[in-house]
Amino acid sequence: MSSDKSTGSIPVQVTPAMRTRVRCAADHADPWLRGLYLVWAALPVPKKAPEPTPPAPGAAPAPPPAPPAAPPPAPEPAEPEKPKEPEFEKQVFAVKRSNEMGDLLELWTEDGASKPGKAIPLFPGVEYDMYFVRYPSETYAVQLANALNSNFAKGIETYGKPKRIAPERVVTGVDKKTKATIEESVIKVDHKPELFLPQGSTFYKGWLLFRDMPGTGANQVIGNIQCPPLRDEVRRLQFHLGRLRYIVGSHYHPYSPEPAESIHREADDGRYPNEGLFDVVLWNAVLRFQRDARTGNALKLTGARVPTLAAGTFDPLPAALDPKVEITDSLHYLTTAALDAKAKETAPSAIPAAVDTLVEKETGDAVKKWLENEWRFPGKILVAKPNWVDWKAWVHEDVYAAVLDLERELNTYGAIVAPGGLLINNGFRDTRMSVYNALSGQAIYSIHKSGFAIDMIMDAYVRPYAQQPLYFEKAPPQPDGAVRWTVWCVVPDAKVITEDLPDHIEYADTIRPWKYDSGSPDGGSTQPPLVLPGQKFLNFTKICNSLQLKNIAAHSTGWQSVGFEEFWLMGAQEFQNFVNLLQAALANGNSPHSKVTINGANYELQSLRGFAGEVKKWLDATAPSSPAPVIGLQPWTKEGGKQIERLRAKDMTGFVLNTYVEGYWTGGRTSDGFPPPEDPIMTPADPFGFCEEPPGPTEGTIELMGKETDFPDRHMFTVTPDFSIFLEYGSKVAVPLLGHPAHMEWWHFQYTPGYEGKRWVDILEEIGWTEEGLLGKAGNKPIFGLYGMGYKPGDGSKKQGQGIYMRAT
Amino acid sequence: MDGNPFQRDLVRLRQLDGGYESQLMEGDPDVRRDGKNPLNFFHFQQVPPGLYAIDVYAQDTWRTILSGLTVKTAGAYYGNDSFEDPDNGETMGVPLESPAAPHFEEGTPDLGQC
Repeated sequence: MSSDKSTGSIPVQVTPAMRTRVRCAADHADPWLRGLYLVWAALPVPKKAPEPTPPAPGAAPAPPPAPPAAPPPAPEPAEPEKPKEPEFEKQVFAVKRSNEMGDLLELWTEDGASKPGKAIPLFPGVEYDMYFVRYPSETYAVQLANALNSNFAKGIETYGKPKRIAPERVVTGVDKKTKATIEESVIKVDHKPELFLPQGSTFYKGWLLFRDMPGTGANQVIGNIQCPPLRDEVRRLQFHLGRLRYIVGSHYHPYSPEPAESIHREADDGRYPNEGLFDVVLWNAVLRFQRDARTGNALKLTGARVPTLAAGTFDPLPAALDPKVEITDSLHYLTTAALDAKAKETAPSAIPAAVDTLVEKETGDAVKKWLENEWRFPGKILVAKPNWVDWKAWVHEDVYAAVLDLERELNTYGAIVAPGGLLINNGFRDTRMSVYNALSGQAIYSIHKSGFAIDMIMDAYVRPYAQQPLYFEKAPPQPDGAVRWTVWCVVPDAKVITEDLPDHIEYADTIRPWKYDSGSPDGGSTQPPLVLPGQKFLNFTKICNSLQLKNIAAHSTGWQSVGFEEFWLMGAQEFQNFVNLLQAALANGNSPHSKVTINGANYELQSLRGFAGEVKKWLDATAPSSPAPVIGLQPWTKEGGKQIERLRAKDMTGFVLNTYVEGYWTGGRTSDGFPPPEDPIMTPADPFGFCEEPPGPTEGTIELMGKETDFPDRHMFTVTPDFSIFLEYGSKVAVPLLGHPAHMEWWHFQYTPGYEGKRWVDILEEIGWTEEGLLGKAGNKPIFGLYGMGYKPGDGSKKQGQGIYMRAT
Repeated sequence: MDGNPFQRDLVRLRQLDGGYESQLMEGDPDVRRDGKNPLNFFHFQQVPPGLYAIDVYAQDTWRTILSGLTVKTAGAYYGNDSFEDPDNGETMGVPLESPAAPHFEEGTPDLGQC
């Protein structure tokens, strides 16, 4: 802008206004605050213009103002126009919302839908009046802005005075292209709960806790991305609700969260690290707790339990972090004791339905009250048998009685069980598993997820577990055509009972066990009679059935071989398929007689381990060059150069490549078979004596010897590795498509009184799930715009398809 | 201001104690961008001394982003402090579009049971 002066305009450039981002004042891996609402206004203009600035000390004093000129003669001089007094402009508060990058965009709505709008710039270094709002929707911030704009005095009575904050101009990085520093206007907010509205419960230090709240980072798996105070309070909340028997963890320990360090434990599949993370599981637990607390629905714990929360603070104790304690103590949470009439008031104040899934004041206070009074979730809980430590073996409490009965029957009739007591392989399955697609051998709407199904212990699906052996026979053909199994346990002769046997007790001297073969179209075969010297078999399936533990049928497909995949290696895709199928077949481990055919010759699958390793290594090293398995290279190109370097890698040493060069190449240090160098041909007509290279092509072999390996540098060439079994472009191969034993299900039993006649959602609600917590977008039950796990609604009919409302089977 | 090509930035300089008011929109001759530098310069001409507010237009309404800018013959002030800055953005880069932390994908375990 320019200023009018008696001598002319003077250009003046003011401080730039900039787009502004908001972040946590503390430095942690991802400090940007997403989803934070800012209710803001420029400071009001002062009532009087400021006085001229006094001269700086030492400076020449300003000249005195010139005396006013004598007014011109006029009959009636006009009143000089007084400068307009600046009015007090009313502050107008507006709402910004930070996006995924912490960028503060103006909030506006169009057709009733909230849309992020322009980013109105702010001046770094200039103060603004601000309120920071942490809330899962814009309603609170909009309500606050409207209240301030309609009656500021009344507004600050309700919400408090705004904070006067100036954004800072900071360097946030370096522009990769221009190398210029990236400077932005940034608002830094300390992670103190008192700086935010609305306030939460003092039980969680004043923080309002909710899913996807600001400060939880872009990547929600790694814990250090979150603001530490939020992570700590969410963690406390998880242990609190777990103590109250709401599911917050995995099938290893449903009532405590999984530490973030788990992501580095490669052997621990299915652990779902979530400690300190407000994930879908916790979201569901909060919702269910609120509904129970609102309706005065709770049970009273009796007896003693291992303390997991410190007295007074209710901070988690070391015992809370120990899954072994959680298993061994699980039975002490069984109760049927109802609350007495006086204690029915389960929340100090009613929890409004409008705050479902938010841990605000009333909800936090209610959690504290339940913990203080030793109340817990009123539904069914998951329990584990104390000797099931180190197994992911939790079951629905109603199944537990049947498990104890089974153990008693097995002991009574002499069956060999593990020294510490009956073992199962697994029971309750984490609801986060197999949601969209079923993993091998699993069902999306499995009874396992309710805790009503148990898998008996075995070794790799096909062999008996040494300490508690179980064998399986193919049952006689069923009316429905399904394949079922009869399972037998083992009894030493000395323990066999011979008199007064009930109907469900059947001993046998021999059985005809099933031998699984993944390469067989029948999935294996019935074996000759098996006799175990000094031992008898006891019909395990009959005992289970008598206790209403029903055995299920094998899956119709999946455990049998479906023949061979036969094809020619005519391109990279075919070669890759061959390598992958071979790897899968070898990994199967249950196909002793399966064969692979290569160029008309049959090979035992197990004898091809070395060969499979070679082709896999070749594929991995040459994938970008589309191996078939032959690859073509242009050594002068960037891609060609990179491929050559991959061939020179140490782990490729030993490969011998049949090489075809388009031009004349005399070989290198590790090659063989190429023509020796010839004397240059001088043509009489060539006065300059240029050499003429002999024509190509040339062929030979190149042995890969790391960096010593030479390749043609001026001609295109192709290479085909010399595998231990001859394989080339156009080779014909046939690989068996093997079954997977996980589909047999001979080990699976499920407790029929628990689920028969009920829908799948009903049996999950028994242990603490909600419809909202289970359903994805298709279920259309969002809360604050968020959905649950992702299951479909479906009622099992042809029209609706599979879903949570279908009958449990 | 936000890189939105469908709504040009519109800035207003409004005198609080007088009659001067002027608006400039991105694309006007008096609005320029200095090469690749990320600042837009809105050049308000012949601004008389006085007290001003700076407003920005967004979502069909004007928003005040500064109230009480004093323009004098000696320069521009906010309160008692100079509000001048000769920065032309030459040393400023462009903010990253997606500075989110790297995504970590969990593997899907195969338990192999029903």
